[in-house]
Amino acid sequence: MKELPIPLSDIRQYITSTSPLMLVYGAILVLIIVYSSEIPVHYKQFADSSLGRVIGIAVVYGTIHTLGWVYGLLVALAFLLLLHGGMQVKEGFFGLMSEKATTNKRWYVERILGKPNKIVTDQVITTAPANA
Amino acid sequence: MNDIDSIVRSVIIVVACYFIVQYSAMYEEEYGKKLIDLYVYPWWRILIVLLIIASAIWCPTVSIVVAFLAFFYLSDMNTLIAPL
Repeated sequence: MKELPIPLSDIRQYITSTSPLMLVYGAILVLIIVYSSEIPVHYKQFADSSLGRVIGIAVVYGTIHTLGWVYGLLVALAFLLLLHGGMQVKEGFFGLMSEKATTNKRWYVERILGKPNKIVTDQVITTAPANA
Repeated sequence: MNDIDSIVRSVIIVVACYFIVQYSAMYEEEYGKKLIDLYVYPWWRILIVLLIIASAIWCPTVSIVVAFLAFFYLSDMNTLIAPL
């Protein structure tokens, strides 16, 4: 019989030393990692804030000290995925310019496509060309 | 036995480092089509996490490199679904 790279007793000890609460915690971590793209963006933005980063690092540190570095690795991975999701922003100039809803007459293409819903500029200011 | 084990660990670390340098967060280099197609399936992402756990039980160094590789893959695919 071939010898395993890791002794079977070590694996058995690792599994039996894991309490049900730790397994639940591990399962939650796996779910956070697997479905990180489905987590609402405001949770990700909180994780990306100063307070969120401090809390995240503290949770990683605490997990490594209490549950071991394997759990710490999973927590770090979940935290990094949350951070990375919080850095993604919507396209456009949100909050920088005033927007108005388009209520006036629309072109045929605009009616078919249903956009734009909002416009930033509805007035054009022109000036007469000046002599150089 | 230990020699073979250390050789396999070294090979996996080198291969993982190659993929990290070549593909991770480098949107000019496209991931393989199968990797892109498989990302949408949750069971594939669960398998990736199980790979990290298995490598963590095996060897800490390998697990850190594999976790890096998994993080970059998951975050890149996440970015491709929801662009910056």
